[in-house]
Amino acid sequence: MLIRQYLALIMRLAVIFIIAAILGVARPEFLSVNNFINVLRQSSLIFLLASGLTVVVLSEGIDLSIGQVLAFSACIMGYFLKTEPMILAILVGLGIGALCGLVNGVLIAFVGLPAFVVTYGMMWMAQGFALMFMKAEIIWGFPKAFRFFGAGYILGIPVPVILMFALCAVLYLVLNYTTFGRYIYNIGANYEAARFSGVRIRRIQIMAYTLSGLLAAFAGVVYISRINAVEAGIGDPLLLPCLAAITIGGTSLYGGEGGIGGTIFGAIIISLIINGMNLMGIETYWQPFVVGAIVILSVAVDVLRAQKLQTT
Amino acid sequence: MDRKEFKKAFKKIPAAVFALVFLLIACSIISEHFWTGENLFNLGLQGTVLTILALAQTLVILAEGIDLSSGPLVSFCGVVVAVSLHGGLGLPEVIFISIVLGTAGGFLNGFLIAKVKLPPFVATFGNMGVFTGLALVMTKGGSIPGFPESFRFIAGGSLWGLPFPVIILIFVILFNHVLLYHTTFGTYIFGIGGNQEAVHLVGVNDIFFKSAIYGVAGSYAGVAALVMTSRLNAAHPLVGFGLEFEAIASVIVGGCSWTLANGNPWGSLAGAATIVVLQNGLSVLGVPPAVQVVGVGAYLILAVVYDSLKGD
Repeated sequence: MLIRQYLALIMRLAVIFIIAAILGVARPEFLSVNNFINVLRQSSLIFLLASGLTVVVLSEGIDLSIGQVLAFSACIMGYFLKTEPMILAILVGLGIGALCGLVNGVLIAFVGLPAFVVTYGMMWMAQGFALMFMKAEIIWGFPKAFRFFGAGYILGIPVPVILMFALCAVLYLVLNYTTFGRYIYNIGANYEAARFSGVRIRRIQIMAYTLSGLLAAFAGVVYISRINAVEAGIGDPLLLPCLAAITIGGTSLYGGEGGIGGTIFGAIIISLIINGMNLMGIETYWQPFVVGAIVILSVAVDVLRAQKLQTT
Repeated sequence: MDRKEFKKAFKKIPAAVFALVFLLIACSIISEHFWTGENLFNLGLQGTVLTILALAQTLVILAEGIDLSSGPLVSFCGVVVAVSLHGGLGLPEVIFISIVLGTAGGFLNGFLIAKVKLPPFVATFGNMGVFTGLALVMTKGGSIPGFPESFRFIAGGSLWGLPFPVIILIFVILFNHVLLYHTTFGTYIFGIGGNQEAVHLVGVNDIFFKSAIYGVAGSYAGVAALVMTSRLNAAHPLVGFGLEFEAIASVIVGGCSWTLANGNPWGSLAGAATIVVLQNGLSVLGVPPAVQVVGVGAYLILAVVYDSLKGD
């Protein structure tokens, strides 16, 4: 088991090196320090949003609403940033995100609807609320202190990248060394067994979805701080790369297998690919196609591997 | 009929039917123009695309799946139709291309779900990116306007006093009904939704038929694309964005359920009708289209809660 995990890690590192080597040969500018930091910063945005989803996926759930929850909470945060103190605005944004997640969790745990239906509905609701609130306008130009989260540096390292590693460490500890984390894995690995062992499944599920909403809003803080503007549609193209990052990172969509560490590698691989496509001068129109295909391929590999394990 | 039987029959009526009655009354109060021939004509025109997609979604959901890619597939087929029309192809060829392309797209979904065994929402979500990407690449993000008169007849013409799209819709409804209730294939659809293992053990090629269900659903999307493109007299790569949500909502409020593999296309018709009337009513009240999604979402939640309250 342990050997397999190391093997998977090495394989992921190898993929990163291979992509980097190809891009480095084709485009020498790829190998500059600036571009390297650029890629890391891009992957940090993907990771921050994908982190909560990783927890949900580990419990054999899915949250399709993260992109739009990010947009909705970011819109309200942006509005409050203009008039209220920064801390209050951020807290309101995080609260909205957590609330959306809570609603998801309650509907899934208590009404018993499939997670993809509930969160898919939430995706459109959040989108609609964001549009209703913004009326197709853009809010831009945030205070300098707020810009620190997305555009600041500490010792030459972009703040989002530091946040990525910090959040990864925290979630790693939570997932591996707290009862909440172990229950997440238990529920994902074997729902019935977890239920019969007395795990309070509904409570854990609600916590997981709330966390996912909260972290989506947190990613929203970094995101709008980086681009220094917010509009209702910013969340639309975000879910596919996150799903790709998670599945490439080796977290199984059937739950119970994988971890938060893999998602960082997944996020870096996805950003490398997108960055590479940009450097090679491929039109951005190709991106949904490529990312969609990557999601399908990586999940297909995951599924085929699981089938192989079952038969041997 | 005694009270118990009556109660049982009452419970079988999906939420959509009550909602439809309520909405029709509400609309006739808020707008005196609602029952005019012109408005009803428009409703039929608007409703055609959604209803066709809702029927496609019904097939898929009856087979315990979901198709998140039907909206983008409509866009993609529309774009290919537009390109073929501008390339000088005639009406019959274009109709053929759209339907075959839709079927192929659906089959791709079905193959990934039935053969590779991806979770339906992942396969179709990935293909959402794939179809959107291909449509974007073909149009470079813009739209392709202006088609010959013969093609515009599909949405603009009328026959026997009815708008031509409504004739198409009636044809699709009849086709769908015969397919579901008077063919072996229809029986397999219910069988695969109820117990795929059993269908497999009887010696039916369940993997092929499951793929075929998505293929048929895709062909409906091809038909919807023809109507949509003809009505707008333009093809745009994002025109189908969100249609799948309305279609799925129609099916759910129409009483289809994943876990019980019950439900029928007539419920979905009522569901689609309510959503079209709801949007019409919201438009009369001056709610912009982008925000109407909140109304649809709220309606969806109400219907789901109603269904879960009445229990089984």
